[in-house]
Amino acid sequence: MELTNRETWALIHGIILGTIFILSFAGGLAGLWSLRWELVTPEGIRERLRRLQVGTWGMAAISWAAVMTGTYIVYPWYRETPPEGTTDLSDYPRSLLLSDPGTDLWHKFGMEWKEHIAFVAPILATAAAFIVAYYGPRLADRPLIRYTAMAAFTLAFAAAGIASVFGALITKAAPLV
Amino acid sequence: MSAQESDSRAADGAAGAALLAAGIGVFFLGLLTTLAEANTDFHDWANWWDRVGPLSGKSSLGLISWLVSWPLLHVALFRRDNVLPTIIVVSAGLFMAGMVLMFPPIFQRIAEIFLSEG
Repeated sequence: MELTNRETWALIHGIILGTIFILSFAGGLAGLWSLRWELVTPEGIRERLRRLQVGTWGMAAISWAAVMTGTYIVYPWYRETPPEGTTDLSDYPRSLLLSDPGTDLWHKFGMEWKEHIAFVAPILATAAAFIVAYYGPRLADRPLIRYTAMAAFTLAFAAAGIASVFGALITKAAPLV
Repeated sequence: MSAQESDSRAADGAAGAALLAAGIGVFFLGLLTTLAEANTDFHDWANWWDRVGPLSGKSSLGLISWLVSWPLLHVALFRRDNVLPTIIVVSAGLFMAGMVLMFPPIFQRIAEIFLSEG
């Protein structure tokens, strides 16, 4: 059992970084939701905030790493143009998908959406992490600011989810080998 | 921490600036995605790195718009309070417009219209 260099990077991009981001979301959202004086003591707020700050900045960093490895390491392999006269397109996923009317939508819709919407996730995750770090315990006093961070965080998750699902399905239709 | 610093840290302007800058970044990502599809000159110009293609230019410009607007908005807004409700509405509009413009059936249809007229 072994992985090629391309498979290893696809694994790092999609399974390791992408999955960590998506799995961490629930913890971050729960932390933000419960950051309220009526639910937690002042000591509890401070303890939760440290965890929340590390968690949100960590998620922002992971989402940047996922998007950058995807765009600048994995995507170039996906979109490589086959040399003239190539009949076996299995090393050229985009060309392979576009060569068959039954699979071309995986590129024309799936990859075209994924490659752009993926950038929304780190932008919003960074905004959420900044709000948590900047306001700290004041988030418990200002529900609208806290809800804003939660909304940014949730939309980042939704964008990452769309990109991840299409990434997995496209890789299934045309594996990167 | 002085009282003034304490007040500015409690004002919602900094959160508004972060949100509005994110909305601007997403809007520009969408706008540039549609522009690259509808305009071959921009499509070719946005090809900053051959191996990634026009996505390199589109995404970089989108990120630059976000990174430039954020500190400017922060400086303008961080002392102001009660600006967040208005900014949420404006940012939601920018965000939705950006998402619509980066949705393939939409930007491909817009491109068809522009390219057929050209």
